[in-house]
Amino acid sequence: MSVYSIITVLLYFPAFLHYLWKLPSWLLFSSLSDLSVIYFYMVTVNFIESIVILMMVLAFSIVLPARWFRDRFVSKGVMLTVFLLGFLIYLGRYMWPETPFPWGVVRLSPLIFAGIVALVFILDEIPFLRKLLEEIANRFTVFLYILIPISILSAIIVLFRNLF
Amino acid sequence: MRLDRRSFLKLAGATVSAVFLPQLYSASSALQAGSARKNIVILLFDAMSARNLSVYGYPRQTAPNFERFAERSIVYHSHYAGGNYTIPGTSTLLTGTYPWTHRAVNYSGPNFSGKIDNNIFAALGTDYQRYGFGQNVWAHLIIAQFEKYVDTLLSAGSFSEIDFLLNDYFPNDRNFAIRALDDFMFNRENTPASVLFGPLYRALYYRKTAMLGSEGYPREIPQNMNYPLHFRIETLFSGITSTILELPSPAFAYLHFYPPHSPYRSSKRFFGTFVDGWSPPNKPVHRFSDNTPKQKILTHRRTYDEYVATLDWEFGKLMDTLDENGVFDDSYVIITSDHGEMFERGEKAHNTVLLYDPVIHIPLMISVPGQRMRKDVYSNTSAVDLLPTISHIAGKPIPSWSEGKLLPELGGNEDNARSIFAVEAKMNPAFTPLHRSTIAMYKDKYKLIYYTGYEPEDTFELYDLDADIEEMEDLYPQNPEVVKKLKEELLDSLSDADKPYKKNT
Repeated sequence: MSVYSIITVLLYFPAFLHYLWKLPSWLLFSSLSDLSVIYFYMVTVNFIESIVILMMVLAFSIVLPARWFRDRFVSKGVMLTVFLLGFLIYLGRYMWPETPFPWGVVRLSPLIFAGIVALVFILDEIPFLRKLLEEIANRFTVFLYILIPISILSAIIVLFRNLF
Repeated sequence: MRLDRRSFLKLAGATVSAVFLPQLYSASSALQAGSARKNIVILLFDAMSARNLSVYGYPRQTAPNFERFAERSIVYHSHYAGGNYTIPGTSTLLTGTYPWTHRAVNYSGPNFSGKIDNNIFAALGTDYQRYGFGQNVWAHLIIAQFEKYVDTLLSAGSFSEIDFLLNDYFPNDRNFAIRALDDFMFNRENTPASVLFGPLYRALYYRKTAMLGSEGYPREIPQNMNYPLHFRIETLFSGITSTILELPSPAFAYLHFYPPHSPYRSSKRFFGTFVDGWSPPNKPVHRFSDNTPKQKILTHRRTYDEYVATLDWEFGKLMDTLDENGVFDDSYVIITSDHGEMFERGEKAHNTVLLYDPVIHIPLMISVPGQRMRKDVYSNTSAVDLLPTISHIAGKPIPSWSEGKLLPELGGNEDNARSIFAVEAKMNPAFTPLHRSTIAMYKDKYKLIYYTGYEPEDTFELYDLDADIEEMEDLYPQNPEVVKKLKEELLDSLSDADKPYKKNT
């Protein structure tokens, strides 16, 4: 749950900031129900993304020997998530339609991923940092009490709108 | 065989009729003669200004095939769009109401809630098989809102080489899928709101575009400006031709082409065609323009003209195929646009608050079934007139909510005393009175432009279009009587339109 809370915060909050950024222009022509539906779509996408990322972290912990990853799942999972999503946010910022696609960065991705994994293992050896991350992740679980119900509700609404 | 006098006269009469009548077959008689319901096909070319078409007197030969089409059509010479970009322009045509009534005035913001039944597809009813195609995603967004009245809604990405739109996967909720996914979470104009899938989506899209060749298009193949759609004009026209040939009867098809909207990507055949040293009359830079340098404007105009010529070439082939298959004998074919494009006064394209003629004077040519001779109509007409006219020729009642009139030669009369309007209000909320907008009113030979909500104060401009078609001389200070009359009418009309929204001020 602690790792998942970090994943959700890193995925939901940038999207919500974008939502707030777009809100003034949407208010020119959208009703409250329109804005809610857009919000439900946004949260549903975030929900699916969060599950995919969680699955990736879980798969990583299953593939690697327990003492390498699973025994310190929270701190290593949090670090892996933060670095991975940080890299994706960085990548997203360099993708503009009129600028060349950053193929160089994309081609270096396996190397960057290996670097991230190495960094995770190195940083996890610092007890203070490990403890700090575990504490933060633990506190972030409070967001799940809000985000999970909203996500499930949003997914149901989006499903309902598309099926009926 | 001997012929008596009576038989000879009968035979002679029949021969004369057979030879000459088709030539004399006028638009109005064709309309009256056609009792069975005919197909109605609207071919709308986005951002096609009448001012850049040779058929409307433009010095560059941009449109020889549209000229051929004009020879068998009713040509409306003073036809105006409801607004200066896709959302208000298309909405005006499809709802038969002005932007201050339908209120689809904001970027990517058509919202017809409460008025969803007031549209051309609903007006025609279920007697017609109704087709909708909006290659411009904003037009698609408008048609999608009327989807319950559209029997076949073609995706915006139909006939495209690359289609990365996501709303196609949400057919039951297309409208919100466009806004929430294509316009927001995966909007390629901004940093993606989706942290994981956003970069992944873009990587796949960019990979696909990198693999797409640009053969035949020196400036790369045409694409939708704001959305991930890339297409070849020949493929687009080929798809549209098949669609028209396969229409059942009676059918109504609204086919909204993206070209010649920017980016202007002419084919190799017309690349550089208009490097001819010609330049239009010099006009002063307007204070509300984006101050684009003159040389850049001229280059944009030239590439636009080349793109129009490319479009015209393909249109010629479409016209020949339709002709060979007898489509013109049993269909009304309507050529028009949603708005124009301007290359003057410091502006390029149509992202502007200005409402000079190049950005709202649009083509309208209607070929009536069996029509062989050209007719010209010079009185002022508006995009709001298409809905009542189409309802009329389809034998349907004219909806009471429509603000248009029957077009001359199709049931209506030339009426220059009427007033028609164009409205620009993209920075104004849809739910409040228009306190920040530009409004143009045409009446007789005059055009009054009203700028409200811009610094330093509300201003007017007046032009006499008979004497000054280029809108060079502002007559506002010189004609107080004309100004008073027109101003009163414009402000009264605006006040009436704003009435339902005054409580939201």
